[in-house]
Amino acid sequence: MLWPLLFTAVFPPLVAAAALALAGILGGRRPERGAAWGGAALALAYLVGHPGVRGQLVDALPPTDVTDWPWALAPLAALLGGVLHRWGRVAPLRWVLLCSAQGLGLWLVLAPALRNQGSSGAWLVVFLAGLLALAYALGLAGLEEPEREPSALLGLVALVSFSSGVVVLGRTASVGQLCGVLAAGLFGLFVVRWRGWAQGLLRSTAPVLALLHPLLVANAYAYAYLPASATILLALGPLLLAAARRGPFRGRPTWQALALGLAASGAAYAGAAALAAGAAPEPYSPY
Amino acid sequence: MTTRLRLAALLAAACATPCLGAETYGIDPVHSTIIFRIKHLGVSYLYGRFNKVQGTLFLDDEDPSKSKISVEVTAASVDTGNQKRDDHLRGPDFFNVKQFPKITFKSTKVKKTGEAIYEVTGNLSLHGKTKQITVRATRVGTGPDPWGGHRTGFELVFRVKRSDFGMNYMQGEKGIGDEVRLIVGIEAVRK
Repeated sequence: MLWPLLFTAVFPPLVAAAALALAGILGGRRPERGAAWGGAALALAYLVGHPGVRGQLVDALPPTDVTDWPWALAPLAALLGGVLHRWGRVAPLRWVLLCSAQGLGLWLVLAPALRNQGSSGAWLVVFLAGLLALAYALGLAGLEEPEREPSALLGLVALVSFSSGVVVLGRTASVGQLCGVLAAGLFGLFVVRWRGWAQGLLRSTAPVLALLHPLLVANAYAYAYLPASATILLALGPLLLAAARRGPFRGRPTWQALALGLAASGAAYAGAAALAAGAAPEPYSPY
Repeated sequence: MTTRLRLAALLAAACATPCLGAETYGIDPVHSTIIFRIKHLGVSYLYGRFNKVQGTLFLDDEDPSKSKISVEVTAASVDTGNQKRDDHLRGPDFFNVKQFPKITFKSTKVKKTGEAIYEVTGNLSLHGKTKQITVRATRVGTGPDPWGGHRTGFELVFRVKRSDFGMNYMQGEKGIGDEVRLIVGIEAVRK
């Protein structure tokens, strides 16, 4: 029982930090050294953590169980992160590539659930999954710039950690732990970023997160018992975090914006947690 | 008229006694039971059942090797007496019933090894993986029922490893065991 915890909270940040630090060392002395490899470092951390949480290596491609698709898509996510870091400033290219990857991932994860649903249920799944992916993409895009301090990254660590708890309340501990793997990997990146390296790494990291995290939340909604209302609130997280840095709040110190964004998204996630726990047919109790 | 009555009586009598030869039976879901047992935290056994089972038995008493068994279980009918645990079992951590709604067993070989004892080999499909298993089946009894039908019953006791079917989550000495012991009681009605 110790191993799943190590693979959730210990190995992913170590792997992510080591990979990003190595890229930074090889990247010379520029402030953005290693930034292009942030997404790959996060994907690598996920590749290490996922089999440890699930208790087995993914032994077939395509994976038998849809829960293993995020693992199989992690290399694609890393590639996407690298490409968008290099050419992501071209907006149409960015959105076409990101939305295509998200659409492919959601289709692969949700296809069996859609086959086994009634048509109205299937439309709801498609609508919610699309909303989730789009909200993530928009929210993370809003966090990417300006990024002179690692506050946005820290905000994402907190958000993805909270989402892990909400997903567990949706009665799938393993998918919740997989969200925890992403949060832990992001924390590893944050530690390196805190040192002043890899400035601008969200441009490569955000696409990885925008692909993998919605897949996990959509899995919890479609295959476990995460309510639709809680799924919508989880989708709002990155958007609220980004909104706190824009509009009337633009120009405030980044740490104030972070606190404001976390308060707003934390309230949304607390609501999601209450809805997920309340959807249980009996009060929460361990068994 | 008398001849017809005699014929009907003869047919009824014939069906009231055990029939030899090939016969097809449908599993009676109300009187069939699947119970499983798994180790919990290394200290105790937890018991559960599946409440929805259906299937067909093709039994040839003269040549048991021609017999066939096909059983289908609704994975979502898992029942351990605790709603939250059952929801957890239905989700992605274990059975993932929305992706894999059915658990099936289809025999490939039946061998009579003793009086009312059979060795049944077949393919068990669970959680998207199929594995060949061999189980010992005991024919509990066969005979007429009070409603003019004819019934037969079997008990199968066997073990499987959940890891063979890609269900490894929380597995460990201090977690949930790997080996699952199953007791399957089947009652079937002749078609």
